[in-house]
Amino acid sequence: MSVTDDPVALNQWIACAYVGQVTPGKSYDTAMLGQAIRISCALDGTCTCHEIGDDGGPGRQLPLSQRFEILFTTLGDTPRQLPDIPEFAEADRRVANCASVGLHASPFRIVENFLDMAHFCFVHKDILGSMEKTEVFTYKTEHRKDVDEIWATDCAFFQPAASTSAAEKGGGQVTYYKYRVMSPFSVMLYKTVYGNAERDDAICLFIQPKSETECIAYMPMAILDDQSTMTQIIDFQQTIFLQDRIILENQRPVLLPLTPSAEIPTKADVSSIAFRRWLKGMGMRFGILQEQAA
Amino acid sequence: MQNSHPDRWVPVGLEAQFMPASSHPVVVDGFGLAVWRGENGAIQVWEDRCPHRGMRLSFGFVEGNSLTCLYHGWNYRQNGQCSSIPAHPDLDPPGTICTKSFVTRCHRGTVFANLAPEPVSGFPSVDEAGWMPVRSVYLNVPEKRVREYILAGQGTLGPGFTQTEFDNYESGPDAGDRTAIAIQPIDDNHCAIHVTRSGRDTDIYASLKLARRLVRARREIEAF
Repeated sequence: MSVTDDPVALNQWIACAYVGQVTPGKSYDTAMLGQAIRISCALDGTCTCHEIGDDGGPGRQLPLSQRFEILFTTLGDTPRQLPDIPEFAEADRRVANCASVGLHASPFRIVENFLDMAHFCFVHKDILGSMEKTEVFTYKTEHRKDVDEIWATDCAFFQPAASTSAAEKGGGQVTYYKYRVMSPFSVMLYKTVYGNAERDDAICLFIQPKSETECIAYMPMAILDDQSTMTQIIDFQQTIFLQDRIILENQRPVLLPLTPSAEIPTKADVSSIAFRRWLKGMGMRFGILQEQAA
Repeated sequence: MQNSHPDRWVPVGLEAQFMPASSHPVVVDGFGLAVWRGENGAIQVWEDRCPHRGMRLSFGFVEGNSLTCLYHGWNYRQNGQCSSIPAHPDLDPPGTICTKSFVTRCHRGTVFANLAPEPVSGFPSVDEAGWMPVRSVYLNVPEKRVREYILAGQGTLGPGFTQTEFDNYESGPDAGDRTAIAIQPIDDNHCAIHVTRSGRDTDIYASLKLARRLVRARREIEAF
């Protein structure tokens, strides 16, 4: 495996571990964009990150940034900054560090699955969607040029059990979503809180592409829920993600095709259309299917 | 995507293996296929990829005579046409939304498909009755090695196999018993053999005996 030469992919802050993953006094080897890296944790808890050299020893040191319960690093010299997410600092929220899940899939298939609502009734049957109400109503998508992010708003979907608290109380409701793609490998959503119309839960997905076809997904969240235990919150999130993993590992081609004729979108897919156009516009090559010239 | 498959009939499995209302993944020459069967018994061989977002159709579920993709529930009729898209219940899906399908035929208890864009290679117009399934064996060798083993006639399967149409093999008749072996190339290092037999002895034990010999043959082939 060799590191990518795609400057668009290299100049991103990418998750490489979750807070608490590396035990003080130990180190953890992983990979990012084809580059082997090592995160080492000193006995006092401070972590450092290095490329792993060809001899197996430490190579170039990489910067580490701790945000949203995640450690981020970058291989680039001018990485795109990730935005603030104020919800993580709000005192009355539960901040859940849902650890990580590995999967064999392209990072962009993972982002598109996160943005997609049309699969709720099938992949997350009786939790995030039911067979009685499968329609995806028209929603808005935009490329917010000032921050260079893709947003989808006015998203609504009827859900039998949209969260741990909703599941317990047995109430189905229409859940309102806003989706926000913050970088090619980072996406988050805001969703209505059960019983609270004013504020939203914030659920993030940070993707570490080890290679073009193998990733680690981190899903930290900052939610309003004073009823559930942390175990219940994490179990709910992991159940949802493991249901998605079955799909993500079985999409073909593995790399994301950008030619419009390769896959057929419908109106429910406008967020993925915007995402693909955005990737094409920024010149992303990593993780993208390169079509042979005719 | 270019279709550069050769014009030849390849076996994808034993007819008895494909239960009604089921869907199966099969790989031929590195290419993924979804082989599924409606409740009416008709077998379809499609590219293993939903045209929506590429989810493998072999994971789909069959109800009645249609196949539903596991990801977004797009439903496809036996002719490959999409009949419903649950995200848009009032939409009549346009005819352009369809799966890539390949011609398929059954012969001597084995299901064959031809993946060429314009298959002209002939296929017997009449199937033969009386062929019983024995078993399929999956091997970690290229198909060439299996062919060499069969033609060498040295191992537990014995001599007496001749090449038939579609580059398959049959032996016999030997006391009225015939064995047909069809070879499926999976990729450069893997293949499968699908074996059926016909004969006066319709007792399942005769087929089980042959099935056990095939498992022994696999060990011999992989060491050949």
